Amino acid sequence: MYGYAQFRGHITRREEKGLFGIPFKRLLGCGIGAGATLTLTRIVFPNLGVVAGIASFILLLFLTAPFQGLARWRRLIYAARWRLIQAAAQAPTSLAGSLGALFDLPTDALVLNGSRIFTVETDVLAHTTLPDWATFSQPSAVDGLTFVRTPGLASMDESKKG
Amino acid sequence: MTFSLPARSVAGRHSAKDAPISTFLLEPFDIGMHSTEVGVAALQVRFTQWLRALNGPARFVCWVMPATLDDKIGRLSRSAREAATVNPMRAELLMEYRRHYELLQDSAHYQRAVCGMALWSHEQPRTLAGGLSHALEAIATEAAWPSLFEGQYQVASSPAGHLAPVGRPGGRPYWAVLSSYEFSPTEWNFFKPAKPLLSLPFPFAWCVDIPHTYERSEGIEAVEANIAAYMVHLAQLRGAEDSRAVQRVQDCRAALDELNAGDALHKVQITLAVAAPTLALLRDHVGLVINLTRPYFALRQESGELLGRAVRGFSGERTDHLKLPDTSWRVTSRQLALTLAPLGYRKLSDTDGVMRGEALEGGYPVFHNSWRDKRATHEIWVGMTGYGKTLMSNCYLLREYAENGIAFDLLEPMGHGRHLAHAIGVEPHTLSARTTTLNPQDVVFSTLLEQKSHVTRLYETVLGRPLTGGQKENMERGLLGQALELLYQPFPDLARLDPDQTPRCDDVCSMLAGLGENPRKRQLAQALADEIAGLCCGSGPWSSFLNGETTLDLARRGRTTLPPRIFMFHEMADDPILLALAYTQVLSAMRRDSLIDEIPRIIVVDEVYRLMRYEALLDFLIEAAKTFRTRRKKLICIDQNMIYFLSGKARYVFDNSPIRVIFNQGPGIDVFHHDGAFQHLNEQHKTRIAQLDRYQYVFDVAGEGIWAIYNQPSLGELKRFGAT
Repeated sequence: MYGYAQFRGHITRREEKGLFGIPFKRLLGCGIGAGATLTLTRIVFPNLGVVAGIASFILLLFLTAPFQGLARWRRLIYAARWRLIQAAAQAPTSLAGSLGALFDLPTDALVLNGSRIFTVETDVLAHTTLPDWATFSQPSAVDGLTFVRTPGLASMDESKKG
Repeated sequence: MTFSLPARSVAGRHSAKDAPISTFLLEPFDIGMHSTEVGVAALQVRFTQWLRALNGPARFVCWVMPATLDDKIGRLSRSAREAATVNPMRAELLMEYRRHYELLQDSAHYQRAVCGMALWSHEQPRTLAGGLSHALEAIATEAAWPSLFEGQYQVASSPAGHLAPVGRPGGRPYWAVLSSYEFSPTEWNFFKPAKPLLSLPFPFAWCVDIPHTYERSEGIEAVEANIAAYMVHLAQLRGAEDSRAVQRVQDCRAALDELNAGDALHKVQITLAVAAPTLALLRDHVGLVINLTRPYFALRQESGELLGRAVRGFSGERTDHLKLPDTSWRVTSRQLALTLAPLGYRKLSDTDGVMRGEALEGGYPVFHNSWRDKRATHEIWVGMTGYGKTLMSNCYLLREYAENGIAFDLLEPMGHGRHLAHAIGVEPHTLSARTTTLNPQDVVFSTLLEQKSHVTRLYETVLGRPLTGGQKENMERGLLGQALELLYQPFPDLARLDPDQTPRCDDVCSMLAGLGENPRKRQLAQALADEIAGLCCGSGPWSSFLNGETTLDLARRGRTTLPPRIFMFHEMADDPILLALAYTQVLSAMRRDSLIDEIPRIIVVDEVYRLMRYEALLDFLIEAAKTFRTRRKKLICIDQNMIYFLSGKARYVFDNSPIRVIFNQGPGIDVFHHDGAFQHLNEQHKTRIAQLDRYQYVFDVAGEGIWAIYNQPSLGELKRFGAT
């Protein structure tokens, strides 16, 4: 090591050459999707199959286009969810608000409380306490010297039982 | 005897998924202490070793906030107002320091930085903190993390995703959160990209989330599978080029080499939080951060639901609970080590205490309050001549006196003390073989027994022989003691004995000459009286210095507080006997005054080796180092080379001094390599010490940290002490 390091491309994800800057993998996926649309559409509307296939290919290409690390379809879903959350919180009686309530979206996501977010719950936060330490004079000893949470009470309970 | 901790063994049986969180605060270290090629490489190795052993999720956060010296300036103003009537000179000094801090503040943007680490692990937090401290060279303490913001914030989407304070802002800024989604193939080090980001003059937080560390074989398989897929793809090209795929294969192979060399493979996501007082400024700040990081990684400004989730990355919530889209990157431990670089950027931590100088790396003022504890903390200052020890000591004493009202005693052999004396308006005590008279019988001990023993020691120094060891010497000691006892007898309260009433050397000789209950003793007493008189009375060589009323005011006279005192010995440097006598008297008076109360006071002994030449004076230093701290008296021993403090009895002084101020040591640097006391200094610290320029020093405070500092004097200090 030299005090510096060369960062690299993604080493567990395949990024390969494509057409017009679109990777083959994505073109292939869109093509399969368009093919499926064509096949299904031809069953119902035999004349519109090709048009639907081409349209779905273009639509799939558009929706799968990545932007800032996220596919467009994901961004659209997040944007739609956010609108529903806002509507559910601000206008719960509106159609969007009702939909938000129907999907049980978290309306409290609109306002963040610093004191709640940045406070680690005490039962989650691990602290070193004396009872966490158990000291054994011999590794094999089961009842070694231990710190107990309620000094004296344990022995009293035992004597009562006795 | 073997001890086992069951918690450790149980840890292995639990999965990392249900592991509890432990949060730690880390005290950043000074990257300037490692800024050599070997230094940063060693640092990377240490960080990497720790990351390799990571077996659960982890999160590192650095919060950087702009800081000012307003607290300090305000305190000085208040002190100046209070001192105006009592001590106008001190008030004037305080205003001068206030102006100095105002100038510093105007010329720089200071920041305050806090670093934290969250680990999800079944291990004992105390064990984890120990591991962190050792591996990351930063003092780690189990503590809750600070909040990124206070109060309620509204998630807003327009004009871009941001958090706006709900209700009255009350100074609360707007926040934006940026998440990394792609890393560029660029070289990282401990300075890039961290340094420019951490210098931004607005509140900023840097979060490195490590949600998953691959098992060794799992990581290797994942990379190998990717190589195999690329190879298939390349084989199918049939003559066509795919340079990106070829490059990716090379990247994967390089990563594989690192994994096979022991590195782990980690998922990592960097999240930055940026603040601004207005939305327009927030947009500018976000743009600036994105531009600064663009060569290294791409950032996405979160909005809507994702913003609400991403901001929780600065809390202790697990990454899988955040339900953010996975845009993490895969990096090896040695790469990940460099993302923890903010740990090396120590900033202005506190304005409590006096300024010790400016950090060489970062340029922020370093303040240290060594009076926080009930006990004083002694210091050892070492450095070659001309590297700024004297200037620094003058500046430090003046700052402590002006800002905290702490008086001092300065023992100074070169005569530079007069500048300091002039600055605070006291008369320095220049001890001279020609003009000073220092009566050995002056009372500096509270009991007759101690006083007798002290005067006897002085006469031993004058006579150049011990009054013990043989029958004759023992008898002489007894006779001298008897004479002194008779002379002090009329004064039952020794502490109230004024210099004009104190017996003189000729009184001692007269008294001594009349003692002895048998001819043998009478003869011995007469001979001893003659010997002392020959040296200290009449035309004896030390008669003018010793036989007379003391011209140096060392008497306590029932005073509750003592002003600063400066003793200069440069006019008697030629006579070692006189020097020893003068040091003994002055130090004994200081000892008496130091143990009498718990008022903080600083005792500075410059060129301490001059004292160490005399066994009795070295004993005094050792006693002072051991006992003075409980009476809130800080002892500062200054000399050229650390080696003086490491050999023989002087080691006690070193061991009792937790603060070390190290200027350039020249050839004396060897001692830092060989002595076990400097194990906490790594090779880079030692290299740094060897390369220190004038007025630069390493400030090593046991248990608190190591700073590389430049003593930046104020204009007033420069004017007063420039000649030193």
